[in-house]
Amino acid sequence: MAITYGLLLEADFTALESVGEAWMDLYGNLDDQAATIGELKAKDVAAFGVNHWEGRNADTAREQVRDIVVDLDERAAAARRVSVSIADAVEEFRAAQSDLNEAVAEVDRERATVTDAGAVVPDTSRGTDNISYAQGMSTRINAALDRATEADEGLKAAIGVWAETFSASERSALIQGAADEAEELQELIDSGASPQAINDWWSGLDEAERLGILEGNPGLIADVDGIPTEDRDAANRDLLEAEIDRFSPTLDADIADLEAQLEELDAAGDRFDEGGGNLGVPHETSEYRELREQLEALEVERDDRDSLEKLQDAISGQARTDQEYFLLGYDSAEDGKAIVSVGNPDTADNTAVYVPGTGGDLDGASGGDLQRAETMAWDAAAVPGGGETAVVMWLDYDAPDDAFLNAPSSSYAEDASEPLTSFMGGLEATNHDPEGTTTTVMGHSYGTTVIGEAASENGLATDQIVAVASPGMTVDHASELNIDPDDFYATTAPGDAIHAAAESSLIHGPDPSDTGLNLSDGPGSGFGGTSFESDSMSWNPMEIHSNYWEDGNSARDNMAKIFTGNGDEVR
Amino acid sequence: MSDFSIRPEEVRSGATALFDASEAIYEAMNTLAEDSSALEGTPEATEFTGIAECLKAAEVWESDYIAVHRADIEETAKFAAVCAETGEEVDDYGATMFDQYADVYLDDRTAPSPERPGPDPAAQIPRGESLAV
Repeated sequence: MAITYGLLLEADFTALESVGEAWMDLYGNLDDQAATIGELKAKDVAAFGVNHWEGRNADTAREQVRDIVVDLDERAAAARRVSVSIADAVEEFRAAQSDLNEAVAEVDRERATVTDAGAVVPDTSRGTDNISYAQGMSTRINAALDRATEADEGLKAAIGVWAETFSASERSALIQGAADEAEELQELIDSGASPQAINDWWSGLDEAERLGILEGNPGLIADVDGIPTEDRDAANRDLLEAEIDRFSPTLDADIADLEAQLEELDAAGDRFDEGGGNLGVPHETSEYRELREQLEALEVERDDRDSLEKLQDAISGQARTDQEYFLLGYDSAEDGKAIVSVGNPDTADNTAVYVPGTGGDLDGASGGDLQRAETMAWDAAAVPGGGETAVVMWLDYDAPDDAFLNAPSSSYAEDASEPLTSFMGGLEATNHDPEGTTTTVMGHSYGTTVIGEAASENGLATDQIVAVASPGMTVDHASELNIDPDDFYATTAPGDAIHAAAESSLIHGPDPSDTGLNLSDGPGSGFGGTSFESDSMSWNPMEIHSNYWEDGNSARDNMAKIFTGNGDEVR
Repeated sequence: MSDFSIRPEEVRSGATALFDASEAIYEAMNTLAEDSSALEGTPEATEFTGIAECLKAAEVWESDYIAVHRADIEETAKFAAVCAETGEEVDDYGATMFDQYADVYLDDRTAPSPERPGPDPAAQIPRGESLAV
């Protein structure tokens, strides 16, 4: 419905602004309650923890608590999005109102008059000169009204989607209204458009079109670099929930039932067929084998579901830095992949992208690797004047499974090079202030090899590169990473098992933490850049390799300084 | 399947925490509903479709979505309370089993019990599903 002249002129948006703030308060409350409820089962010693309650009822209660937390978290996120949409709309309404007031005030009353309906009527008593003048002023007034109308339509779509107030027909109309745009986006993606081109195109859509694509086809934007973080997160969360919902609700009961049947057959002596043709070696009866195969298939399904639920749990609520989690991509196939950000990289003052190494998979992405990202965000938040740092855990590549069997191959890094390059380009495109933001890409172990390959082959949209416990970065010197070597930092703790690989210079290149300050190698030798301290925290070389995020490790302070643009202070 | 064991005082405290959470959510929702009611009948809410949708959203959340969350929370709270009070595995739990303990858990409460809304025949398409476009 078009906003009329008199309406916009007189409108007061104060009450709407208060409503927007109340939605934000509701978000905070839902988020707090989700955290409180989640605590009931978070630890063994919690009220509903296994130390205090065991058995079928306890399992049921813990499962119910889990579902409540996921639901509340989703509802809290919706309330936050509603609040932001209202705040944006209020700003836009007021801007349109201001445009209108300015236009009306500027109308020269000797040349034209403005009617109560907003029409500009030229004074033609002394000729026709004023007609074009009146048309010009009318255009300005109409532009202000159009601006308000577009904001109103965007607000309606945003509330309908985020607050889930749309009926099926309204939702369908929203999706249909963006059908052409969805097709256009698909063509852009197919043509290999850059993240910047994607972002420019996306920014040119109105809110209703963007929401129509998100609602109708979240899979189209879920993993597209250049789509803003908020939209990408919403798409991925929708897909994750839909994928989890596709698992049978009776999966656990079906598994228990099959286990019971197998036990029964075993107890009755019907597990093995003692008949002939097997050279006296008992083999499973066909009935037992069929049931066992069914059970194995369901167990695989259960593992897949559990991994996805673990990811969903991991991104529920807020990080301990009070930052939100953003799911920027995931893939449940094979080992699984995921991109999760602690904090919004589009709006943070600093962004660090953490690339994990060997052994990275979906479980790690929801567990240890995400905890490392959160730890780094926590440390960066402690740097005085450092601003907000978003830390992205980027595992959008098939990491080597085994340090000895797979990690010597560079093929994993080669395959990861293009996705990482594109992702960093996407972050640059969606960032609100790419010039003012400090961006760092940081790798651990094989993750540094991935970064080296991508940076040297394609160049990465980053200000700095950090290599932790690197087995080599596929190049001989920091200058080959397409950044100023002064912006390259590296560390490897004394005794780290990776020394054996890095020092041999046979696997992925020379040790990046050998910056050339070792005089015995002669001037000009070494990788270049700055090396910083890290601690072993163990005598075990394999443990040392994973200890960089342990409490008290000096590597943490140093990384925090680098991420916040204080790299000149590292020790 | 793990053997049954329970420390009633711990589980009781968990049930109480759940009832408290439900009440806190009720109060926050109430504030939003009151703030939103200030829009009711205004020219802005009548003529701006987006503002009208905000008003509708507060109503739908109060009567439906938030009510469902509270009902889920309180059902779990009641279930835990019954388990804590009986001190044994409950095989056929029904909501009325909690009634005899209600005074202990809900005595100081100001928020009304949540009412789960009936099924809406015009239910929306679940989020995350695609429509052919």
